[in-house]
Amino acid sequence: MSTAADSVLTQLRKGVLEHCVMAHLRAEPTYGLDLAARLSRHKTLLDSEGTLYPLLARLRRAELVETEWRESDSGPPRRYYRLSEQGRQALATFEATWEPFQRDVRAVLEETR
Amino acid sequence: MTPHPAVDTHPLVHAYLADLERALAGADPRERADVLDGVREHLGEALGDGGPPETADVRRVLADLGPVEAIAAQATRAEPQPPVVGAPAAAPPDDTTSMIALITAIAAAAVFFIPFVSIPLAVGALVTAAVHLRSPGARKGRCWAAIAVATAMLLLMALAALFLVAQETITSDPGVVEPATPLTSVPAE
Repeated sequence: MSTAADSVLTQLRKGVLEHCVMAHLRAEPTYGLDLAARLSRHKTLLDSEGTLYPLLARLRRAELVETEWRESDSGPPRRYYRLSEQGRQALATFEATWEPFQRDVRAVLEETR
Repeated sequence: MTPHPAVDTHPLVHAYLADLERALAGADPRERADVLDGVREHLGEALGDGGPPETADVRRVLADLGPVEAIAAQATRAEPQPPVVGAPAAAPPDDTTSMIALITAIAAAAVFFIPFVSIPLAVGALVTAAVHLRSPGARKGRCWAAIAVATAMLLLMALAALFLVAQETITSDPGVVEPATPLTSVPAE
């Protein structure tokens, strides 16, 4: 991918990727590697899996995500990330805002083509 | 926490974690610890299924994690004071010293005509307010009000004193001369 496209993506991810992380935690808590694998299925969202961890650290500090240790069948206990009630609300707000936002962006791009 | 010590000892993993730690040197300390723990666990989960990991696997997992600079760039920079996320700005604590100074200054003005009470009160209020003005939590407005009231009161007191002295001089000057005349004139009679 070109450098120009990379820098556009970097800008677009800000404020969006964290909500995609929270969306993955909506159904059930999960651990870092699993979350990274799920997110990196969509390459525009996460191309370096490691960048997930500063994001999780920030979400945790903002109390949008909580952590807990769970026993694992194959090895030592795993740190699970869980969406907090606050995180659930933040995600709902994002979702309600995102729909009209992406519709408007698409409309502008099509009208002006 | 190092859940997979076997993974940590692989030279490439070890070097990667050391690089990441260095890259995160300027990051918020709590985030740095969380990121390092998260990445270490990620590596342990990805490579730690028994036995020392193959170097090819290590390279693939590290490539997926991406450059340490990219990870560090996402972390919040450390700040001199830890930010309080979401908490409202703390209300300034009520500043009792400035309140006491102001009340004392007003009290001094109220008992203006009893100088041996009002002057010490005003001086006390003035000094307290002026000294307190330099303390960080001081309510500056209140201090200045106390200083203004106390200063005005002391100035008025000084004016009143000058006025009284002047009066004294005017009334007593003839008094000094007057008794002298009868004293000198009486024996003359």
